[in-house]
Amino acid sequence: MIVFGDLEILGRILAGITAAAVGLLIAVVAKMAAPLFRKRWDWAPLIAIAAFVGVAIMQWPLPLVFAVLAPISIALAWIRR
Amino acid sequence: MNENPLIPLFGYFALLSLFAVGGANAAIPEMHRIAVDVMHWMSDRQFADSFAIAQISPGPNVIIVTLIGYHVAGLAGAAVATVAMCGPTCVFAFLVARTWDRFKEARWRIAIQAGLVPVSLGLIGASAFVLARSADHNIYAALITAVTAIVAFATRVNPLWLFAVGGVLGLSGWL
Repeated sequence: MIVFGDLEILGRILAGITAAAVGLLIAVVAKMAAPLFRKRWDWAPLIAIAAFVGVAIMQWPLPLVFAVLAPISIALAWIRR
Repeated sequence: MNENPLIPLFGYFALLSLFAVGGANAAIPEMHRIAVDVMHWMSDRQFADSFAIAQISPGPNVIIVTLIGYHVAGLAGAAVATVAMCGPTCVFAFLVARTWDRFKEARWRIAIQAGLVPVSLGLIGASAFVLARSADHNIYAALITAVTAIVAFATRVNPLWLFAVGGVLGLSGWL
């Protein structure tokens, strides 16, 4: 079975592509975040930051983070419409 | 890994598919946690490469799941992981689509949609963070990531060009 990155040259090229792909994802996040942090309901940035910290920094399981934050976020959206 | 890996492969991805609000890219930290940290199916680097291959390939980003499955258990693994990730969601979407459409104006539906947006955003942000830590092992890789992010944010250049530039820079061997 061929494992990605095994071949020396392909591995190098892939490392560059991977670095670029991560950059693109960051750009997607920034584009999504811009309107959210500008206006909308004021709790949204806090929810986004909480989801980020829970998953990225604390490394809690996604189902757990989702099960806690989604209902709170939906409830806040309901109240503040 | 002496037991059949197809069973955890199916279980993890079937569960994950139900929480992947915001698409496959929102579920990447969880995939990373399972595939790299918990099950030790692949290295950090292999995970990041799988993400990149899924991004540059035509078709949906969810094929990162197919690549992980393939890595773990060949073609059978690829098939099992893909079905597990897409199957439950497809059934769910099929069942709720009509109801969802009918309540387009309903306050609860608007609240659900508005409420899930920031959660998805935070999760995709976490994906970017986890991937950057997996992929950028030195200053050159981090630079490529940073410059690509700025260019992609500020311009409308076709992403394929950015991949091409990244690939050529990678060929230099600095990464």
